[in-house]
Amino acid sequence: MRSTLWAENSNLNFLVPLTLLVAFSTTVVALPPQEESPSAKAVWKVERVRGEEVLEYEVTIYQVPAPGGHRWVWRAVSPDGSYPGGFPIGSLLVQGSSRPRPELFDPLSPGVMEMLLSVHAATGKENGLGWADGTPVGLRRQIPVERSEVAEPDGNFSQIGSLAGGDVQVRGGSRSLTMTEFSETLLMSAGGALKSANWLATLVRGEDENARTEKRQLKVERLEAGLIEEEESKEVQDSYEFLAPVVRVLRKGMSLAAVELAETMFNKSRKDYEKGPLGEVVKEVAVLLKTSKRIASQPLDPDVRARKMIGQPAPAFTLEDIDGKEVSLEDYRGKTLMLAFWGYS
Amino acid sequence: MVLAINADNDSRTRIKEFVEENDLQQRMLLRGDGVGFQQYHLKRLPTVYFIDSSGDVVARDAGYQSYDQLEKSLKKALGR
Repeated sequence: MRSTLWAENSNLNFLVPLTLLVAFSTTVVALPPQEESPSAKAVWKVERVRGEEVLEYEVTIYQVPAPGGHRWVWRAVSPDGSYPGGFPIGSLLVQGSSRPRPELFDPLSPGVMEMLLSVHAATGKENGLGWADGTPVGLRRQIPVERSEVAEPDGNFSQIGSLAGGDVQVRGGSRSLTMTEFSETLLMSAGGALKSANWLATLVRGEDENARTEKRQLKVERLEAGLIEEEESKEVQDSYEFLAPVVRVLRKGMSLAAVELAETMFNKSRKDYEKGPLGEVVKEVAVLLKTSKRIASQPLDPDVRARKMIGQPAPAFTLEDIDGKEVSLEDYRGKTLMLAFWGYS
Repeated sequence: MVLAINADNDSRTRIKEFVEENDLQQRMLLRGDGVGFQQYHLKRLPTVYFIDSSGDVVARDAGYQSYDQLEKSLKKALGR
């Protein structure tokens, strides 16, 4: 792949998602004509902290032209090579300067969405009093901030937002949640391209002696970015269009007939796309299709499936009990057992 | 022995409250939705399974049950 250097040249600032946002570009540099819509690829390092839980992964995002705007297609990979969520691909459609619209939104890998949406929201802000999007720290609400701009070495600059007007009560009542600290730091290059971003929040659960403090952070750092050749852009687009209907079927868990139809379509041109830029995703989808087919070929009614269990060995499992201790069915071997599955609703 | 398995993904704190309020004695397992719906083919909650001493499933009662029905299933499990 041949790629030009990313966005250090201010002409490329409108390669929005990965670097900068349309809204911001309009205030800082002139927005280039709409018909110029080059395709780009960027790799970001993402680190997410939620109390004790730390999640790290790299995400590769392609920006490809789409009707009325562009589409971001991403794939995230954990250090161990696995996907830090349930699905190997996601995409967002951005039309004009509107808010990104999730398409194959993956609820199990919200880190990527959080990153994209936050970057989108953050760079449109001015100095002085304003609002920040709480999405990166897991709060779907606007947070009042005081913004300022700080010059950094080499012509870079930082946009810093910090919590304005004291603590924010996120939730009241018996299970109260209060935000005592919030900051948003965006490091931009001289050309206005986003190099890294960091959102930090401190939340306090409960009150007085029962209060527990939880730290939340989302840190993203641009590892590489560049324009991609028209040919590669077309390959990403084609691969996405090839995968999208299959992924839709998989996500919705449709009937066996639907899964089989998707499989037939998929297998017809699978080999071609495996060589393309989304090849790894194609391979993962192949595995998912297999699993889906197995699940879809079982009788739909759980009562019917359950009938086959009578007289058979009980399926093994290991679950945590209320004190965090692991309990296996195996532990009760030789005892007569009643398993009561229950729920509130 | 009775194992109560929460298959509705209720939070630990909420379940703890429930256990304390009702003074429940059985062992309470959490996050059993995957086990319940995939391995044990649940359709509605509550659903009760009886497993005999050799580890085989002997009865399944889906939905709320009368005491008599549960006793019948338990007897089956005990082989009486």
